[in-house]
Amino acid sequence: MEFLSELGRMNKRQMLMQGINVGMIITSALMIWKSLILCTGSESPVVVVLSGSMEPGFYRGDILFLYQPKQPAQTGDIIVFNTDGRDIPIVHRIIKVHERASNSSQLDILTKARPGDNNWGDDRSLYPKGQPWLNTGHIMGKVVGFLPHIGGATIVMNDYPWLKYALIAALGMAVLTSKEG
Amino acid sequence: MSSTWISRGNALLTFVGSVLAAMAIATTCTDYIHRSDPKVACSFVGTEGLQKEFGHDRAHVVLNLTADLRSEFSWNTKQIFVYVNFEFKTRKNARNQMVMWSAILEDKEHAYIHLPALRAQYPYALTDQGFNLRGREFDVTVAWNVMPRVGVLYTRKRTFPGIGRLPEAYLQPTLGRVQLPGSTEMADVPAAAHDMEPHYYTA
Repeated sequence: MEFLSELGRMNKRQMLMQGINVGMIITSALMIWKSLILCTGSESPVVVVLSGSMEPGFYRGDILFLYQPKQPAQTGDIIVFNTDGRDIPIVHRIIKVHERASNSSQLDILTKARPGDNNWGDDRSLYPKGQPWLNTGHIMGKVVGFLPHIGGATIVMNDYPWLKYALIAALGMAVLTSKEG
Repeated sequence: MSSTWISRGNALLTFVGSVLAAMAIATTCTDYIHRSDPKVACSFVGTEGLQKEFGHDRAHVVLNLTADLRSEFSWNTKQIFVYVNFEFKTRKNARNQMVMWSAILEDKEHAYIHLPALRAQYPYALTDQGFNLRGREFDVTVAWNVMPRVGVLYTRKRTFPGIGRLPEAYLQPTLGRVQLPGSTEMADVPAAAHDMEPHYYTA
């Protein structure tokens, strides 16, 4: 209630300034994100690991940095890919690449969840029916950097969406009523 | 009253965040000054089988691999993913590249690999997109992806170009019976259970 009374005490000019302030924060965050996309060539340069399919390398809540290298995909690369008809991108390793002689950008790629373990199921079962290979267009980026645990907050917010809205509301209130503006 | 606490909390969090970020960057930078001396040796033992199947040729190849990756471990190394690539060129494809064996090395003590009869880990590891494997020359690349506790991942490799050639004729696969390179002579290379194990080392 303290916040509301503070809002009420402001005049029009101050209200406008606060509004511009909020806009500045949002746009600078957007600018940073878009510049990252431009520099890395990946449509989603920072991702949080949401599944345990790459343990013990990556656990849920770890942060991965992606890059779209100029060199075509190689076996052993950890890639994040998005197959047609699936919302959630997958982080797995490449185990097979066939590069066409006539066109070096046309690749047939096969991935696997936990190579190194003795399970021998590859990712064909995850690809849509009738699509035995991934192509360059499915790859969102190659994993080049790793930051442990920091994405844990994202996991919590994903599991409890109301927390996300509560946090956004609290932050918005704090920004709107901050005095420095 | 409340806003002073918010700004104090904010300052503290920002400070913690920037200190952690600086430390993470400094840590990953130390990997660039880490000196390592990995030793890798690989040779072609023979062909255990060469099959014509529906849609493709499939090969069963036995290699002899010794790799000492102990010096690759730095204080920032979480694990090393080591893998053996089988590579060949065909008229259709400029690059056919497939992982025939891989392992996760979680510490230095397990980073000496000695596999005198390394076979493909999964049944359909070595396949062509056609019927071009007879008499085909191939390369083997041993590569290892160093995965850090924090920071940059990097891959190093050793290639053995033209390490072997597959037989001129199809060969019915028989586990433990291997056709020696460059001849039609057969030899016994017994398949032990630990050959397929990702971790088989004698330090």
